[in-house]
Amino acid sequence: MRYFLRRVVFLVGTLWVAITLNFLIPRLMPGSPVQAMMAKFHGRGQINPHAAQAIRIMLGISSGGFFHQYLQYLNQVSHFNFGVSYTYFPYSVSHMIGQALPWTLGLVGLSTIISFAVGTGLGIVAAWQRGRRADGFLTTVSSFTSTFPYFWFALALIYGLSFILHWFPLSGAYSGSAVPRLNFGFVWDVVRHGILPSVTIVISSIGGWLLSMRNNMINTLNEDYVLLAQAKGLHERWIAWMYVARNALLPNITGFAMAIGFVVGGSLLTEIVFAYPGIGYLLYNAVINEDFPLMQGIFLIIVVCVVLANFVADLAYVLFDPRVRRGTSV
Amino acid sequence: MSVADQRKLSAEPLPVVRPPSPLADIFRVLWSNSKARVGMVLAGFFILVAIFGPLLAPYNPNDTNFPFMLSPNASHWLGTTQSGQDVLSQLIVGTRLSVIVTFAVGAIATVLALMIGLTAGYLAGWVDEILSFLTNVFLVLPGLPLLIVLASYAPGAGLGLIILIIGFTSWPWGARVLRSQVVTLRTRDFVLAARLAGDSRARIIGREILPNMLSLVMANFLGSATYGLLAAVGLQFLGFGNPNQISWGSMLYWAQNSGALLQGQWAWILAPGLCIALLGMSLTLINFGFDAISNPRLREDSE
Amino acid sequence: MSIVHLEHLFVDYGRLHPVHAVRDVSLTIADNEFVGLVGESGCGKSTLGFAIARLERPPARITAGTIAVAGQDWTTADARTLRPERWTKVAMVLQSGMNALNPIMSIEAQFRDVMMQHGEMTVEQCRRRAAEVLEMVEIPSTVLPRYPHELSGGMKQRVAIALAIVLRPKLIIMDEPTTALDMVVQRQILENLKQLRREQAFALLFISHDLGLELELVDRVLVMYAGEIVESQPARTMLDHPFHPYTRALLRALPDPETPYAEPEGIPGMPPDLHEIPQACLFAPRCPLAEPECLEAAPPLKSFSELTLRCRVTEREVQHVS
Repeated sequence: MRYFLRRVVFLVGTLWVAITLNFLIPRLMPGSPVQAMMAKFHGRGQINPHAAQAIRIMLGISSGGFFHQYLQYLNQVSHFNFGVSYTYFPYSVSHMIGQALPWTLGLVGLSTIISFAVGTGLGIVAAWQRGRRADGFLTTVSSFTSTFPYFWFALALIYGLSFILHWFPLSGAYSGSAVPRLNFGFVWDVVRHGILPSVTIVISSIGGWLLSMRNNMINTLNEDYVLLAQAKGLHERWIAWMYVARNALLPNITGFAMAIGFVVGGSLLTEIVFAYPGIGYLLYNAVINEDFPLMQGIFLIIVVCVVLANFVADLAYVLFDPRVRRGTSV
Repeated sequence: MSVADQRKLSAEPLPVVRPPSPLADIFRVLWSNSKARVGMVLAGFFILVAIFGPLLAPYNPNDTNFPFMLSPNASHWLGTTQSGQDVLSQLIVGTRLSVIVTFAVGAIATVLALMIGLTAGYLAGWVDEILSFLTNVFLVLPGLPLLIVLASYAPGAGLGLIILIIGFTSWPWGARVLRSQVVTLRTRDFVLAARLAGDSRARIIGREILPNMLSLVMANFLGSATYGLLAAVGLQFLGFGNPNQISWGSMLYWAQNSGALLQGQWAWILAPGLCIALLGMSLTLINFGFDAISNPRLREDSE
Repeated sequence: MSIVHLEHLFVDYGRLHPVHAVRDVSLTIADNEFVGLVGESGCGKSTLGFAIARLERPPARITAGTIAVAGQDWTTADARTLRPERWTKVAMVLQSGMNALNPIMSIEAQFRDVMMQHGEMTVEQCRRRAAEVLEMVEIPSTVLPRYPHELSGGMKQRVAIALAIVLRPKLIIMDEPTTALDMVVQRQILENLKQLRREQAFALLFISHDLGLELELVDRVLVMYAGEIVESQPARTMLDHPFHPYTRALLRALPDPETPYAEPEGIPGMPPDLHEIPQACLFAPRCPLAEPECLEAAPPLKSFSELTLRCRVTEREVQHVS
């Protein structure tokens, strides 16, 4: 329970820091871009005064003292009111995010789970085969793939598999002609569009999981209880799983917390290359069009998702580690 | 009597003495690790190209007098750009800025991580609580989106600002690792002995703690450098920074924006990406060697 | 019958610049015999202990000699052949029970793990036997559902001992089992072992740097120095008649209970580098009795009824005593 409370406190604390950062950044940066933005925004003509106020708060040009602005801001954010996008006027920022978010959650979530599972599994194999050919191959290949720039690998895949071989569509999440509805044709279309972006994310991130799991495994292999498990004449596979891997997995689950932010960053670039209509692509368009309210809204949403994923990983940790499960602090 | 005189006087050849410097020792262990050796050779190659790039490039990278969008051929091994520049020359000359970004970010991030990690780990108590909390928070915040938001408020910024932004957002991982190392070192006998002997805090940190963390600090430097390279390339690819400064990232930006792939000029995109991956890999490989130093269990068996 | 019989065993670390950690060790442990193996850290005693159980890990490897356990050759046996023999013939207890137990399994699961591996047993049978052996080391069976981190260091070590005897092995190898524990717990464990011996038949190889502890517990003491056995004799005679100068130095290094304020003596000097073994007595540089001859040739290991000795100088005294 104490563990759970600590995690909740951390979750809230992280969110608070992110929101505050988001509040401070436009105010700390040189003021002129924000002013220019406001002018540009007025050029769009008719705006709802309520929405305009939200934007002023977002960008830090509302009236009132600094602290007053901060409270206003917190209030807005807690209602998921990020103002109006000026690229996609008159849609609100939350509306645009709501459109894009499911695509990203599906793509990034699925790819990350696959990458984590397969990478960790291969890390176990590499450590168990330490010093043999399989280990050498896996570690060398993954130290190469883990330094691929995501978007570059995506470009290479597009060129080879889509442009030259026509195996996969070039971009998007579904064909322009497809009617979004829940039938086999559409689902298949979505899957076909999703394969390359997903492969990009998996290939570029799998090496990191593999290498860190291998490290943890090698550390755990030297523990007394592993040596004793061999002395007990237990089966190799049972030792590899129950004595080594299960224990080596614990730091990797914690590592998940640190890596998820990096993977999300990389997958943003992947979305951009594939023009995949998720959060990353939306962020890119916001940046190109200097749509600051949209940009900051997206940043907050990404943070919320990452922090929540983290929280879930922390809870999953409990399933694996009896020390935490029994309520003793670690 | 100088060392040289002594050598003349003694009939026997001097025994080979290893310098006691920890750096030389680290290098020896690194070199004995096959992965780290490959990495050092590869990284050395890129550093040489970075230094002598302009002398090695076959053409002026800004020369626009060639035909547009040529595929790789005998006079332009990697073809030309949409404005008629030689891609190979851009690649060679662009190495310099890419290498600078890599190592500058590594250095900034490591110094920050070291300062925060040492402070938190050595002072302990509430200072540690606060710094650790902040470290964990920034560890969780996704880096690239934060960078994008920061960079978009500074449009057209030069590479220097990009380096600063990335450097100042990539310290948490190192701070966390270094802090935990300081915490274990702080209670070791030799540190306690120095404390009882009344050594000053600065002296204990400088003489007793830092030398014992050298390999970890170096590993952190390499990790941050790799991250810095990838982050900078990502930002440049999105058009942040000054796209007219030639680097691997800006090459990818121009290649993507001129539809290089669709026009069959694949080498323009392939080459810088491959260089990025190779430079990153070389640092990762060197890191295997540092892992082996700080954790002897990972050492390759002497067979 | 003997449970373990070693002949001329050699163990090296590494190949390029091998450290000859164990050299030419021959020994026999009889059924139900308690044998102590004593020496400074780094003398190869743990390496020897692990090699007997065939648990030597790279870069350690056996380069020559034979190990026979209960009449079966373990030197050439492959992993598959050894697996059913492990723990039923030879069980182990390591230093500090801290890491001897898998942190993610309950104590009961760890008992069940080895019992089910080596025989058809129901969960209920496992639990009963586990409770039985735990009682022998004075641990209540209520710890069964607990996890290792919920136990104190001394309790963990006693659980580790209970785990070692659960399959009634012929031999238990204990490597510094009490070193990480405080004096009170150390005493308890020693008493546990003496009690266990009355309840169940097993041989013990007790590896320790503490000769005093050895003399109290075991029947016979092997003294190891720089990878070689230098002296072996029954514990009851060793205290009064130690022969090898190294054994004598170890005894002098013990605190004397009768004159509690006397400083125990240390042994001057350092053990030799085991990369290159000189053709000499390895202890000679630290030996107060060394004669010029000791530096010229390695002394042979000589056997006298219950005593084995590797010392040219003190072997001349043997006749006088016996």
